[in-house]
Amino acid sequence: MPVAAPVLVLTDPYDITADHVVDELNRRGHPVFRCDPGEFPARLSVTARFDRGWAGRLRLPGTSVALDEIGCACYRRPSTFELSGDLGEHERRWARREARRGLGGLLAALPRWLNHPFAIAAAEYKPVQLELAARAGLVVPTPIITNDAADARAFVSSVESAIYKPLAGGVLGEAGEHKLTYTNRVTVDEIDDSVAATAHLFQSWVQKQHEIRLTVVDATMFAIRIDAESAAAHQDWRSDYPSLRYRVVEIPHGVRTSVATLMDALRLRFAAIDFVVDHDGQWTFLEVNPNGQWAWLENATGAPIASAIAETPTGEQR
Amino acid sequence: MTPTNAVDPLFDADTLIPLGAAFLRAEPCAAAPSVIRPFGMRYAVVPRHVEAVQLSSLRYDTDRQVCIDSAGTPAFGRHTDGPTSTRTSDGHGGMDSDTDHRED
Repeated sequence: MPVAAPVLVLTDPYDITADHVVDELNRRGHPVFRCDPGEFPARLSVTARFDRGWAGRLRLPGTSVALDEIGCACYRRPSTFELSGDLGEHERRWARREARRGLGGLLAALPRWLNHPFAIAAAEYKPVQLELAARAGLVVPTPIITNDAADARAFVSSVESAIYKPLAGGVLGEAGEHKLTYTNRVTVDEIDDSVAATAHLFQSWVQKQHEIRLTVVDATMFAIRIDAESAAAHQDWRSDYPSLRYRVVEIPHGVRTSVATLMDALRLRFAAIDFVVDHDGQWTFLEVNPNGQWAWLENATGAPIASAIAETPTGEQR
Repeated sequence: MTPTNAVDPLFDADTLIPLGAAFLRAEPCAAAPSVIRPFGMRYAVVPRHVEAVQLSSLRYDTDRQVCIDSAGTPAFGRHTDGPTSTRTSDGHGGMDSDTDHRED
């Protein structure tokens, strides 16, 4: 019986979402090598030589994995590199760049990923997502990206209702606090010249009955309906988790086909995709989260997402 | 979609391979907001529902390769939703904190 190729899980030690997948792989007896690239070079070390392909080992104290034996790599949430405190800031910048290109380059050369970090980085761009989603046949809201306040006002005036949403996730750390920027309804009167300071995304507000988070793992899709029971959650469900209710629903055939096309276009094998559904049952695409969260949905509904993810690299061995 | 031009300002190499970057996370910054800020930043708020997770009560099990509590129970079995705020000793008499938002 052939030995299964190990799955490489790249994430920090406290990534509880990754724990679900690692536990599932453990349950199946499938070898896993989990490491945080952020532990390089303090605890994690690497040596690789090239001979028709990269061969070498990633090593942690007491364990290691052969690069050329890795069956599939899963990219989650690596932390920052642990560089020597003896280095000055100038030296740290240099060392960090070299670590990223060296260790990062060796990892990027691995042949099978869920998802490849290059694909994740490219898919994070919302304008790209909207373009490819529309080309794939999905219904998308009407957006505008501008740093021109007059154009922003004209757009907001032209639609029944408009929202502002950040282009890059909206996580902000300032004054010692972590802040999030949710989707917000905006009016013409609110828009001022501060729009000129950078790019802003405004979008038509889609009247909705409920929302969907569609988790895609290759050809397997889990659609979880999210019903919001507060005004804040109705605007952006992330703002009020305790008011949310979840259940698994069917996916319309046309949406399923278009999502598969979109995933191919984005070169993704995994994604958490958000939709709104109106009172007529029309699904409208909002965004793709190429490294999105899903564990709380599995906990809430029992949808076997971790099992589907674990099945992907183990299934490739057969 | 994978860019190949290393000087493309939209896709620098650090973005392409975000290994080791604080990817999709924001570290808390002591700086106060400036007087003039981009329009969208006015909507940034502190999340209302933050579940505190004491990392000092958890440890990483190097055999099982998952995070467990003092009883050996995997931490994910207790995971709820919403952003989490973690506080743990920094080993020098102080406390480090980190918040992981399920922003995506």
